[in-house]
Amino acid sequence: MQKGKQELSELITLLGMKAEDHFNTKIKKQWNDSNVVKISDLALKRHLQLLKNLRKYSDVIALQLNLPTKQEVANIAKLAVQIEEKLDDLEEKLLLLTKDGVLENTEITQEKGKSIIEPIEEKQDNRQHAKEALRNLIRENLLNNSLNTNSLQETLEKMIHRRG
Amino acid sequence: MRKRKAGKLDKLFPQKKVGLTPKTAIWKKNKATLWYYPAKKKKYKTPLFLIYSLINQSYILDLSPGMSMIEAFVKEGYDVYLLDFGVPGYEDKDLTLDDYIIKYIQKGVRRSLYHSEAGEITIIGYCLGGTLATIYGALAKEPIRNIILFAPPLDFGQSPIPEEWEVALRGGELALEQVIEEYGIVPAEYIEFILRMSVSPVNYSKYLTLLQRADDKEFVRKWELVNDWLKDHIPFAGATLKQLINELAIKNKLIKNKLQIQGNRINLRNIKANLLVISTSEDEIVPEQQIKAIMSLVSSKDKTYKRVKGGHVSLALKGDLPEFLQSWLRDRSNPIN
Repeated sequence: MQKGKQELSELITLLGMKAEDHFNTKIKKQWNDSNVVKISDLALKRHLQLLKNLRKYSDVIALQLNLPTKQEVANIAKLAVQIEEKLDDLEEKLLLLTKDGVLENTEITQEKGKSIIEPIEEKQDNRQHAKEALRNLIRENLLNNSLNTNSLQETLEKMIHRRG
Repeated sequence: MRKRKAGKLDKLFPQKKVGLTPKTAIWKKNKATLWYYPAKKKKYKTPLFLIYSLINQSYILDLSPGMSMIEAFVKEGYDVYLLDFGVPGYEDKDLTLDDYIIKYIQKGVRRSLYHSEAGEITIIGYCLGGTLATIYGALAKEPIRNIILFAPPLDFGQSPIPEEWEVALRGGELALEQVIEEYGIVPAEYIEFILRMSVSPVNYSKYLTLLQRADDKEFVRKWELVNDWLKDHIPFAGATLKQLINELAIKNKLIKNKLQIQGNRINLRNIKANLLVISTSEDEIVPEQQIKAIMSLVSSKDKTYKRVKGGHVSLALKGDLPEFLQSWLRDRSNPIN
């Protein structure tokens, strides 16, 4: 009895799948017709006109009711995304600076400087000069919004070598 | 807000929980989130960076315990990063393919590298995510050791679109572009409809399979999870969809090395990472012809093409990694000494 039920269920599945394949092939064949494409294009155009009209009317209603339109809300959201992107860029640059150990190196050098009882004035001047140049470079690039991570990395490497 | 009491319906159809593998969000941008899934017992230094499609939700990769590819990777000892693009809203209508590649994928990979402190990374792309991974792989400056692509639609010269429709699309005889522009963001229901019409307009056989195994509770639970995911499409950013239709589907620019991303030409020859491309035998959405073409176009010295039994998403639903994938990845990831 159980076996018979299972066989019947398998048969139904098999027939069902075959029928599904058959329907799909038929539908796809019907679809692949230049007239169907033309009718679809007409329907799309009509739908497009309807969408345009709806948007136009909803904009008019929003204006009368003193409400922001969908586009205006989207523009505000876009501004928020732009700010987020700028913050993200800054965060990445900071990550790069800390990753390269440049900030840590500076601290170590300063600590080392402290431990030396009589620091050589010339070496200190050079270090100060390099730091100042680095600060200026970052500031300048940030202001011009042209702080390229590759060029920053290159400059930092140069600074480190000069310091060494 | 008043909390709704659990009714009889809730008891009969409890809400299914998905994405249960422990994770932390390490980076967020707009709707996107970069999730970090730490390895259970870390065995490899090379982390995995997963890119999913823009059509469905990425939780298919971590559907349920025992049905999760992410869980399988984590169990194998890999740190996993998943870039979840989220659900785009109307304000994202101008997001382009360039944005997805540069502002999300490239940034996400960099964040993963910072976070993992790894020297190299493995990129894994699924379906349309595989197409994105391929484009990114060709312009990446980041150290990519391996690229794994699961059923990526790449060669649109072998399109599954019916001939008459393809002719109309190529000739600009359909007002599709204007409709996309007017919508801004194409609703999820339309995406589902287009996919269904191009692959399988009538699809009831899945219910027959359910009927056949209706007394198997575990099967029914899994079936429901997959079926819910299949219906859970997300809207598509209009600008990206237009670019995909015009640049990839109609002009087939990716495979012809003519696609431009932020002014840079995408040359597939620039892909030098170890490459594994996987297609499945019963995939109706992305046929083999659309996938295989990449093999002869990349510069990778170590490249493998593998065809396995199964449907479009079946590999992502297995609780364990298939043996070939396990060994391929193990041999090409840096072990922890």
